[in-house]
Amino acid sequence: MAWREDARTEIDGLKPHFVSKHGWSPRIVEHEGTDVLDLIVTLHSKRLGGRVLALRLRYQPDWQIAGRREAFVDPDDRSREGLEHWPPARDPNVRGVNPEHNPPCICLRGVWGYHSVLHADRPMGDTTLLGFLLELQKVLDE
Amino acid sequence: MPNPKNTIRLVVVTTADDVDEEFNVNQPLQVLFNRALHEVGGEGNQDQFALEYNDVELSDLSRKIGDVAEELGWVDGTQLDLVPKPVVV
Repeated sequence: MAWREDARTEIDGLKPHFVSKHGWSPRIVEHEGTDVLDLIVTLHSKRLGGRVLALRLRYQPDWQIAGRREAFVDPDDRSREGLEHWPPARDPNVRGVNPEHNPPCICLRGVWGYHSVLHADRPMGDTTLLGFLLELQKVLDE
Repeated sequence: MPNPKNTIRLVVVTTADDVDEEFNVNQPLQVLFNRALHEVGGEGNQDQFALEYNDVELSDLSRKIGDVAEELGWVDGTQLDLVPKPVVV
């Protein structure tokens, strides 16, 4: 399936320099018999005192239009999701990360929350996984 | 000790191809920034990118490459990053 191959290609194309620098440790999880491919990325946040977060980007057949569906999951058990695994909404909050929004989402180019929830008039265009992760890393550190 | 060369080889890692070239130390950082921007097709969106060294943005692009190199201890092959700035609207 083309959407899956495209997803794998962009994940495999993440630059080792940035992956290593930020300790992202990208990991693909596939669910047999489903149209879902998950990418789990480990993030370290200077803004949150070094807290370790696990971001799950869910690729589905419409990901190139709808965006990569974002959620933070338990870094120790990545099958568990929930608001407790998101950065806090305040004190300190993380710019662009909106755990209190319904649905919780991230306001950065490249993900579902931006292109399908908050700014549905703004197409995915040529946004890239690497560009999104660098922007997210930046707001987690600033 | 003054650098007898008037060029320095710098590497800029970008989200596209990297820059790995000699730069005249008398040129401003803007030249390096523009070269890296070209790789990502960002010439028209300068404000959406940052040139960074050790995670610190080099914001004064009018400074001479040689002056910054001396201050920060750059040598041939020193690596910088060109990264996108978050656009939160």
